[in-house]
Amino acid sequence: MTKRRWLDVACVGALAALALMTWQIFDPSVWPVMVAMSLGQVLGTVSLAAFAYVVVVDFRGQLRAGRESFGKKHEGDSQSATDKPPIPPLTSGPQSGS
Amino acid sequence: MSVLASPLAVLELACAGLSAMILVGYLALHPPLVRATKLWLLLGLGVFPIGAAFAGNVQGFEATKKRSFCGSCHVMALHQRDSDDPTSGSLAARHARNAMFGDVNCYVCHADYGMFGTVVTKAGGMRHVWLYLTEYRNTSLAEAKKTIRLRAPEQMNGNCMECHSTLDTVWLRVPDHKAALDDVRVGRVSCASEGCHGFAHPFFRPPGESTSG
Repeated sequence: MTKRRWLDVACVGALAALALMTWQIFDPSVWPVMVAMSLGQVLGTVSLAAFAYVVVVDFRGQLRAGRESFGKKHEGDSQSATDKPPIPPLTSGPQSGS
Repeated sequence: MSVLASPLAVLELACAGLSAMILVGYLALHPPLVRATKLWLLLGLGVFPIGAAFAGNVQGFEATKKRSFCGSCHVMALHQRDSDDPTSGSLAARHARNAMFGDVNCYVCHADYGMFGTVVTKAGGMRHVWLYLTEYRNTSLAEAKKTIRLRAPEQMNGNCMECHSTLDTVWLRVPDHKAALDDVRVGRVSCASEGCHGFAHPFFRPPGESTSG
């Protein structure tokens, strides 16, 4: 399931949870109150967990992408460093002014 | 019933409304999942629903104390009707007309007290729900009268004594109180018995038990 699909499911679940939780305000009898405090809250918690999962997955993806781009850049740097001509050794040439 | 009468109900509705707006907005627009979107979703899926749940829980716990809540199970309909009746002379109805009990008179008289009283009472309520689902769901009122009983009737005097301490000099001046003092305190003689203050719910006595008082 894609991240977008996870978020869609979380949003729909949270909307259902909110509906169940607010139902008890308008009808404070046994079933609405019990459903609000059990099913409504479980649904809301699962929705929040789904959102947290997406955020974590997204963050890890970003980290991995960052690491890969850093690795490539680093590789490129070291490659370009090997392409450079070697630094000529210091030679003891004629000293100017002597 | 006006839902706007309770600030908790207003808070819950406000949180739920704000959350719903964010969530519907997200579902309609499907913006890219950038940091701002995540923050909005954190509000819509986390902060506001938690606020709604918190306010709703407190509101729900308050609702469970109300007589209308107790009466929403059909086997308690007669109890509720009696307490709602301003002309009823039953012990329960007379207490319901007292502002200290009012529309939470079932809870005040039947709740457990002490440090964990609320928790114990709510656990007992869950037991009632279980019994209702498994035994009383299809029970007629006539049948319920024969089967529904207090689980620990000897403890009921303790609940009476939460208000009527049995220590007051005016209370002790009554000869019957004085004579039965020890029995009343340990629950051997019920305050809500036929010879004393009458049954709390006289209409709900099983056949064979007197309904007077």
